[in-house]
This record gives sequence, C-alpha cells and structure tokens, in this order.
Amino acid sequence: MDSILQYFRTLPSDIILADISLVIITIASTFLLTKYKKWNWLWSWITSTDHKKIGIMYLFVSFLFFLRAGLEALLIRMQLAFPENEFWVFQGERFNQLTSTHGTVMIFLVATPLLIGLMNVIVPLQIGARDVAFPFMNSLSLWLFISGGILINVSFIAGGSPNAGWTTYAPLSLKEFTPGPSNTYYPIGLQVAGLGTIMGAINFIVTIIKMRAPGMKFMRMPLSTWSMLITSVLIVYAFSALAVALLLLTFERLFGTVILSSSAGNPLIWQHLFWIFGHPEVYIIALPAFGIFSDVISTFSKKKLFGYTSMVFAIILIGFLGFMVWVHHMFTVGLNANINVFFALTTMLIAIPTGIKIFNWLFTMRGGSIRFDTPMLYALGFIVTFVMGGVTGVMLGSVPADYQYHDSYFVVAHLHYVIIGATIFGVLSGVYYWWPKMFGKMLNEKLGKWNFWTFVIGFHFTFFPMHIMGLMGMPRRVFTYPEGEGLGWLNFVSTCGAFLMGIGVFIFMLNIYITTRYGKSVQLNDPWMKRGRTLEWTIPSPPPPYNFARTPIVTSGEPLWNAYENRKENIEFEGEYEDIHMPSSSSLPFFMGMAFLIASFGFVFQIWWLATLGMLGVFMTMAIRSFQNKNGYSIPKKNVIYHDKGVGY
Amino acid sequence: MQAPAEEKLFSDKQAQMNILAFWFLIGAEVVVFGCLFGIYVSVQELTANGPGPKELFNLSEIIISTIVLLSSSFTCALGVYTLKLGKKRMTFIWFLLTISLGIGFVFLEVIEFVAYVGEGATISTSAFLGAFYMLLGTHGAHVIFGVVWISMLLIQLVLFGITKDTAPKLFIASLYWHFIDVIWVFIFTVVYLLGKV
Amino acid sequence: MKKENDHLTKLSIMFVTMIILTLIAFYLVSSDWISTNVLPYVLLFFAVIQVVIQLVLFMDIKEKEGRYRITSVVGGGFIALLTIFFLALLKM
Ligand code: HEM
Ligand SMILES: [Cu+2]
Repeated sequence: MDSILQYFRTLPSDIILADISLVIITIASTFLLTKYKKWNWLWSWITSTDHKKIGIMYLFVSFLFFLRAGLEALLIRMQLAFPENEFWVFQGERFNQLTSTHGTVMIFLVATPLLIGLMNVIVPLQIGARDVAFPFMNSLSLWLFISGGILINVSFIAGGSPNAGWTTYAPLSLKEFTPGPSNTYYPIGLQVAGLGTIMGAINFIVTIIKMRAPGMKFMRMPLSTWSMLITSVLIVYAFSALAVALLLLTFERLFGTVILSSSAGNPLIWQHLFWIFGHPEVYIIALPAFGIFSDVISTFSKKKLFGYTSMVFAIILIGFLGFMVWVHHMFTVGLNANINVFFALTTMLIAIPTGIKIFNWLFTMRGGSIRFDTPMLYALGFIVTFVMGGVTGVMLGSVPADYQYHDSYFVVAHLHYVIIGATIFGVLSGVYYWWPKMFGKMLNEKLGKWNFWTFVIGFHFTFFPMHIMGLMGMPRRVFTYPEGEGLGWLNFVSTCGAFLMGIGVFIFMLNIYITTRYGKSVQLNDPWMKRGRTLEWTIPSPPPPYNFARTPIVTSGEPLWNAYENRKENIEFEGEYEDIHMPSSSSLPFFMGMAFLIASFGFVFQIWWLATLGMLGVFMTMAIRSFQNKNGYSIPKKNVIYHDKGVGY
Repeated sequence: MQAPAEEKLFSDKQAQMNILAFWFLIGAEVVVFGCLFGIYVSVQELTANGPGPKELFNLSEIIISTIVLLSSSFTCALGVYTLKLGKKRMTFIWFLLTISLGIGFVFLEVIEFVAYVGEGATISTSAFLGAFYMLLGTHGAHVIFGVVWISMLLIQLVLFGITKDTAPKLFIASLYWHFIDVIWVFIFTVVYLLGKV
Repeated sequence: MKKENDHLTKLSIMFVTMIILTLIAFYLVSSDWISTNVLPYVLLFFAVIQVVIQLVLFMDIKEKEGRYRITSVVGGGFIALLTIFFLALLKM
C-alpha cells in the first residue's frame, strides 16, 4: 500500500489529474449504462456490421480524439501565451509530448478517420448499394482504428507519450536518445490503426467498383464518391509505405537494428519513407473534403456542378502528383540540388489541378440561387482559407525560400490553414449536410451559424499571427521565446483565438445535444428544401438497415434533380420487392481489436509472453472467422413493403 | 458425378469481390516489399566491421531454396488447375505438396540464418545485415502465414469439399502463394545474385 | 479436354523455363562470362520475365476485370520503383 502511495507521489500533477478523470469517466459511464439498461444497446453497436452505424462510430470516436488533441492545443497555446511563461508542468519534455501527441492524434486519429467515417455512411447511399462490399471487414477496420487510438492516447498515463514530434524523426526517435516506452507507442499504435485504414480503403475501392446501382456509370458518380475512390487508392499505397517505416522504427527500437542510426546507418531513410507516406496523406485528408464541398456547393447553389469532368480529372491528377512531391519536406537536409529542383517543380505543378477545382466551385456558385445554410457557410469559409493555405504552400515549395521558412511557425500556420481549412471545415460541412440523413433530425441552424462564425473567426485569429511569428524567426516545437522580440502580443492574440475556436467546438456539441434532445424528426427523404440531387436523398432519413428497398434506376449524374425537373417527387425504382439478405452482426472484430491491443502492450513494454498471447488471440479470431459460415439473416418482404410504402407512419 | 464447372464456382458476386479485393492487397504488398528493397539497397554498402554480401552468402545453398519455392509455386498452380476441374483429391494433394515445400523452404532459411549468426553476422552487426534480416524476415513470415492459411483451407476442403465457398478461398490463397514467389525471385536476384556481382 | 491439356502443358513449360532461367542466372554470376557492368541488367531482366510468367499464367492477371488487377499492381510497382530509386540515391 505504502509503495503504491509512494508511486503516486512521484507522479506529476497533470498525470494524476488525467488518471482521476479517466477513473471518473469510466465509473460514470458504467453507472449510466447500467442505470438506463443500455449495455445491450451498446453491444449491438459494437458488433454491428451496418455501414451507417460503423460510420457513426468512426465519427464519434474520432470526435473524442479531436477533443483530446484540441485540449492539448489549448495547453500548448497557454504555455506560449506570454514570453518566458511557465504554465503548469508543460515545459521542456512535457511540452514535446504535447506537440507530438497533438500532431499525431490530429492527423492519424482525427482527420483521417473522421472522413472515413463520414464516407462510410455516405458512399454506399450515393451509389445505391445496400451495404459495403465487406461488412465484416468494415467493422474490423473500425476496431483496429480504435485499438491503435487507445494505445496512442493511453501512452500519456502509461509510461510517457511519444515526444519526437508527429514526424518522429530518427535519430531522436531511437532508443539511444529517447529510451523508455514513449516512442515505441508511436510505431506500434499507428501500425495497428494503419492496418485498419488499409482494409477500409480496399473495402471502399471494391464497393465503389462493384456495388454501384445499374446505370451508375463511373462518370455519373457524385464527387464525394469519386474523391473517396481516389483517396482509397492513395491509402492503399501510402499506408503501405508507412507500415514499412513503422516496422523499421519498431526494429530499431525493439530488435536492435542500426539502419537509422547516424553512425552505422542513415537517418534519412526514415524521412524518405515517412514523407512518401506523409505527402499523399495530406491529399488523403483533403480529397474527400473536396468531394464533400463539391456536393454541398452544387446543392446549395441549386446548380449542376460546373466542369464535372475536369473535377474528376483534377482529383485523379492530384492523387497521382501527390506521390511525386514528398521531397519538399526535405529540401533542407542536403540532398543534391537537381533532386530539389525536380520536387520543387512537381510541387508547383500540383497547384494547377487545385486551382482548376477552386475555379469550378466559384463558377458553380455564379448565377446560382444560393442558400447560406451552415454547410454552405463552411464551404465558403473553406474556399477563402484554403486559398490562403495554398499560397503559403507554393511559397514553401520554392527551395531557397524554404531555407528561411523551414521549421518555423510559418509552417505551422501553413499546415493548419490547409488541414483545418479543408478537412475540419469539410467534415463540419458534411456533418451539418448529412446529419438529417444519418439521424433524421436537422441540426439547429441558429447554433450552426454561431458555431461557424466563432470557429472560423477564432481560426484566423489563432493562425494568421503564426505567419508573422514565423517570418520573425520563431521556430516551431519550442516551449518558450524571449521577451522583447515583439513576439509576445502575436502569441497572445493567437492564444485568444484558440479559445474562441474552443467555444466554437463547444457550441457544436451543444447543437448536437439540443437537436437530439428537442429537435423534430424531419420525415422527409430530402430535407434540404428539395435541393437534393443525388441518390442518398431518395431514401428515408434515417435510411432502413438495407438502405434501398428496391434498386434505384440511374440514368444521369443527378437522378433526383432530374426527377424534380420532371415534376416528380422521387426517382423510379425497379424490380419487385423481395426478402432482403443482411449480413449478421459479429463480435469477432471487436475481439480481434482487443487482441491486437493486448499484443501491442506486450510489444511496447517488451513483455514477450503478453505479445505472444495477444498475437495468438489475433490468429485464433482469424481462424474462427475462416471456418464460420457467413449466413446472415433475412428481412421479410412484407416488412420491406410496409416500411417503403410508409404504411403506418 | 459431374465436375462443377469453373464458372459456377467463381460466379458468386461475393467471390468476385473477394478476389478483386485481394488484388488490391497485392498492390499494397508490392509497395511494402518495394520499400523494404529500397531500405536494403540504400544500406547495402554499410557493412561496418561485419561481413558483406560477398563474404556471407553461399549461392549453392540459395539455389536449392529457390528451386524449392519455385516448385511450390508450380504445384500450387496445378492445385488450382485441378480445383477448377472439381477434383477434390488431386487438389488436396497438390496443395499439401505446396505447403510441404513451403515448410522445407522455411527450414532451409532457418538453417541459413543460424549459420550466419554463428559467424557473428547478427541483426545489429551492421545496417546492411539489419536490412537483410528485415527483408528476408518479412518474406519468411509471409511464407509461414501462407502455410498456416492453406492448412486451414485444406481442412475446410476435406470437411466441405469443393464448394462455392471453399473454391474461391483456395484460389485467393494461391494468388498469395504466387505473390510470395514473385517477391522471392526479386530477393534471389537483388540480394543474392547482385550481392555477388 | 483438349483445351485443359493445353493449359497443363503450358504450365509445365513455363515452370521449366523459370527453373532454367534461374540456373542460367546462377551460372552467369559464378562465371565471368558477361562483364559486371551489364550483368545486373541481364539478371534483372531475367527476374522480370519470371514475374511476368507468374502474374499472367499462374495468377490470371489478365482475366476478368484485368483492368483493375493490372492497375493495382502497376500502381504499386510505380511507387515501389520511385521509392527504391530515391532511397538508392542516398548511397551517394
Ligand atoms: C483546434 C485548434 C488547434 C490549435 C490551437 C492548434 C495549435 C497548434 C500549435 C500551436 C502547434 C505548434 C506546436 C509547436 O510546433 O510547438 C500545432 C502543431 C500541429 N498541429 Fe495543431 N492546432 C489545432 C488544430 C489542429 C488540427 C485540427 C490538426 C489536424 C487535423 C492539427 C495538426 C497539427 C500538426 C500535424 C502539428 C505539428 C505537430 C508537430 O510539430 O509535431 N492541429 N498545433
Ligand atoms: Cu507535402
């Protein structure tokens, strides 16, 4: 007992606080679940193979991670609010942990899965499918993502977080310089999550190739679907490169290879592999957002998307070029000048298809009858913000200039303009847009506008000053800066902006609460004032488990809109009603995820029996799955008819 | 009994989607091994005080494992051939031969590694050896996984026969097996042969 | 039955070809018949032939939906080559 108390005395106050809040949250949720008898309900979600539920869980879990990483951002900003500030414990080592996990969580556990989650709900609806191609694997992806996420998040209270930046450059990330479990969490946790992401991507690709409704040709697919197809291809390749990078780091830290060491090996290998993944990752989290904005802008402008074909080709071109620019993150490491020039050129080239897209969006709005609902506001906010981020991007792409900007706050400003401007605005836009489809209730518009304006104004206040700080020479990843250099007020403004963004996020949560609690059900297929154009608006909100009672007939790129133009209420569906076969739910993905989690702890702490046990669990669940007969269950025809005809509503 | 025609066995939409998905997994694996080769090539000359490829490798042993693995690829192709004809027994035998050859390959590889380590060429001796063991280890792990996987499928083959369920699974496993072989061809060429040039 | 036997013969011939290619490659390295400047390219060429045989004949890459199969493998190969190329440049 004494020794345990002694142990707790050695812990810093922030970890004690984190421990206490973890305990409280666990007890509270257990209590609430028991009190309202919701355990079965929870289990039915955990084991669900319905793409809509899985998508919603993706969104929910990554939103939790967003809150955590956002909290870290606020702590960072508090430490940096004044020159030579000493806020709580966040100096030196602890500050490094904050920035590293903030970046890692935001990129891997927030931006990527938020989009995957949203697309998981929407893509099958947009192509007229009843589910994804592999419902079981879909659930598995989710649970691998959650396991990896838990691992990265728990590191804070169990042995120390990764502290070598979200890029985890060698040699700092090697055992030699950062002993202990901290930087081992990074490769192991991301490996597990990344595996899930690759599976998810393959699932999307096959779904989009093979499960489109008859008549839905490739060039009739909505842009969200198109962008998700290309994104998935990028994921398949980029995350494989990441897997090798992480494997390499694991070998370095656990098995004693010396490939990355600066004396016996070459640390640049890590940088190459990481950025071969890293730059495509930027497009992995940007392209789906582009898709969402294309759909939103066209819907809220009541116009067909301008230049559909050029949009599609721009996405493909961006995806391709995205693999050929990675060295722009390494301009200053001393590669030979020709290499730098080549990659500077490809970097500039990528601005062209991006520019095409921006103009297409503007032309779509031109002459349209625009409604300024929250999704559209976010789309407009995106265009302004993203153009600014793009301009600083081209600036960074010029080699001599990059020698000035590199590793300064200019880069921090640039990356947030691009990532928040595209991904976070995109997800918020998409969530407001499709919320009624997912839950059958419209999010509150008034709160939505408050949410938008606080978040966007806060955003520019937070990050615009960072450009200037960077140009004045403030390096990134430092926990303080000297007085009297004129950096104080800029940092203070930035911190205030960050809190305004925090308020924005709070209003968003309030909106969800109020809508869920007091909002009215919409009862319409297309709640956006008959502006819907694509297949997801032809079915009830929320859709039945099988989405489409009968097969939709697709004769154009915008079937619903064409039906409206022909004065019809909805598109035509074909075929007879029949019994619908559904995949059964399964607890195996959950258990496999947990087995991975156990194995991962074994690896991180080098407890080999635990690792073996966990891996055995993984292979056991795989074997069980291989022998399972995969019969689902059937929804009888009469129920389908009953629901589809709306009898009894 | 009429042999089930090939079309019938693989016509299931789910089976087709599984096969397509597997091809995309192969695309991912191509990148995985590409990166491993990249690492290997970039540190090939960083042998520190340890042995380099010229001193270490003994080609006449490698040629045996290469022929073993190539033959397993051939028996695997024969297995698929008989699978499509619906001949359960022959399919079983060919695939059994495949995994036996696979096990033989792993066995030879383990002997080889043990010998290297005995000569003091361990994973941390030099960057070159680290990359070598990583590349070969990943490949070897794939072979072992393939052996376990195909064994599972063979049990299913015995239990359920050639059905719309088992046939596509075996076909996919065969793709996996050929892919492992493809990677080995490159390992043989880039690591062993070019190491000697 | 004729067609099926054809297929069988084809498989066997290709298998023998692969073994022979392997042996030739092995022989070329142990002798100094070809100068060491060209030899690597010859060996890589042999490897590529073997891979094409595996992909086309054993793995049916060109069958149904060959478009997607080839896209997947070629795309992966492209990125793999890019990676190998720039990692190899680190040697200098
Ligand atoms: C909610 C408001 C946010 C604030 C106030 C904020 C603040 C910051 C600050 C101050 C840094 C620089 C730390 C340093 O270099 O010392 C940083 C780094 C970073 N942020 Fe954010 N951030 C926010 C949201 C996001 C989002 C949404 C993402 C991505 C989805 C993101 C991704 C990153 C990344 C990747 C880094 C680099 C981390 C590193 O250097 O290792 N941030 N953030
Ligand atoms: Cu980049």
